[in-house]
Amino acid sequence: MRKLLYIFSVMSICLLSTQVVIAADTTQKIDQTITTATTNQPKSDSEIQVEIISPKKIDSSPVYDGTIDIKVKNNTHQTISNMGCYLTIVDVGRNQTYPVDEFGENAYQTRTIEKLIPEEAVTIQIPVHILYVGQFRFTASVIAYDTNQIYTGAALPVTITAVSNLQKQVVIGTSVVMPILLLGIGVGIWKRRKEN
Amino acid sequence: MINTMIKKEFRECLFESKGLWMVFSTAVLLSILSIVVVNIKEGSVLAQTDILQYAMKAIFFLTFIVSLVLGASSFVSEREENTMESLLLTPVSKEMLTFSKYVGVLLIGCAILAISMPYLVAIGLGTQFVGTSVILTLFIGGILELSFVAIAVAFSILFQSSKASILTSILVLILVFMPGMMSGLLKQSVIGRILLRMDPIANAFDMMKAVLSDQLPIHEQLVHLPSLVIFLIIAFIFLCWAGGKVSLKGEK
Repeated sequence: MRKLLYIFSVMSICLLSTQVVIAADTTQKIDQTITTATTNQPKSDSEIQVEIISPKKIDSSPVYDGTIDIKVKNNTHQTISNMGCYLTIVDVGRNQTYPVDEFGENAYQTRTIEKLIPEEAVTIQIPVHILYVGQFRFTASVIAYDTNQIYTGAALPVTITAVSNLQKQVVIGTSVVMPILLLGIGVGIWKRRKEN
Repeated sequence: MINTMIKKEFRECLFESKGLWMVFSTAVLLSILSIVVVNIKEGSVLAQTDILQYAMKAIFFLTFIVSLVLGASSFVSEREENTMESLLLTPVSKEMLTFSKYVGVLLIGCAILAISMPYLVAIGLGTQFVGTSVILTLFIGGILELSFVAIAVAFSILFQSSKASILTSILVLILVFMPGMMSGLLKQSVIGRILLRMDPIANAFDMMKAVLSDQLPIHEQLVHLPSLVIFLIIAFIFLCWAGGKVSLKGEK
């Protein structure tokens, strides 16, 4: 039995350490929904233009399910290859960023862009699943792995408002009454036992 | 005979193992948690379904902890108080003895689940999920309670000291709870996915999230049931195996 106890202890330590050790291997090449488009828009100052084209803002309540459409355009005169597009989430109210897997399984994955010829634009779709209430800014970024340059577009404002009908008085009332009730019952049973 | 045994074990759990005070303490803890959640700023921006899920998780955790402690000390306490011999001399089979202790502890767990219901109803009022959350808590909590108590009573039969028995039972609880608490990259890794698929608690949490947050129909979430049922079967097999080993002294 002591062996069994040891095995359980070792197993729990192993599980704890795995959580710490597992390294970031997040850049998964998943099936992309990339549509190539030719645009006639004026050139941006940036070499690679990153823009969240849809939606323009999110003002909703939980649960919000939607797709963020990001346009990535090569503004240079040369082909740029080997890029990754990803989403970053900033929580304005709580002053923190989020691991984006909190916003749906697909939100955390980087989308690989194999190459962009001059003036070519692609649209990348990232589905998000928002459960949290608060004010956020979603930013889309593209990293060019060969040059290590990062290009980020304007942030998408996201406001998720709680639809809460939480009846504070009822909850507090229950929280006060229940222990008193149980204490009364407990004391009653204890007294009866003592008398017997 | 069996009814008498169960009543005796239930009374023992309630009065001699301080079960009554554990039930009361659980109510106090739930009250504190509820008051904190409705008063803190963070609580006010949480969706009500999220608060419901937190409440359900707290109820599960408290119920299982109390049941595990009572279950893990059921046979060991008899040994430590030198009453095991007289218990074994009674014309009750070992299996019957195990069953009565198991049901005695189970009833305390059920009592805790029952006293948790008013909290759940109070938190869920105003949403369409009051009934669903009660059903889910009783259903999932019931299956897990049956499993954890079986494991704890089995450890109580096998171990000689209550410390070892309680510690091992709580260790099992932590191990089973851990995959359900995983977040971030580990959740997405191969190990994480396998653990999440196998783990009964993770499946229970997924089921709760799908029904309460994603508002999916409850019958579509029955895919999460196999891991819970398998866990229950394993726990029962373990209890049946241990039931045949009831002896004056446990193993060192």
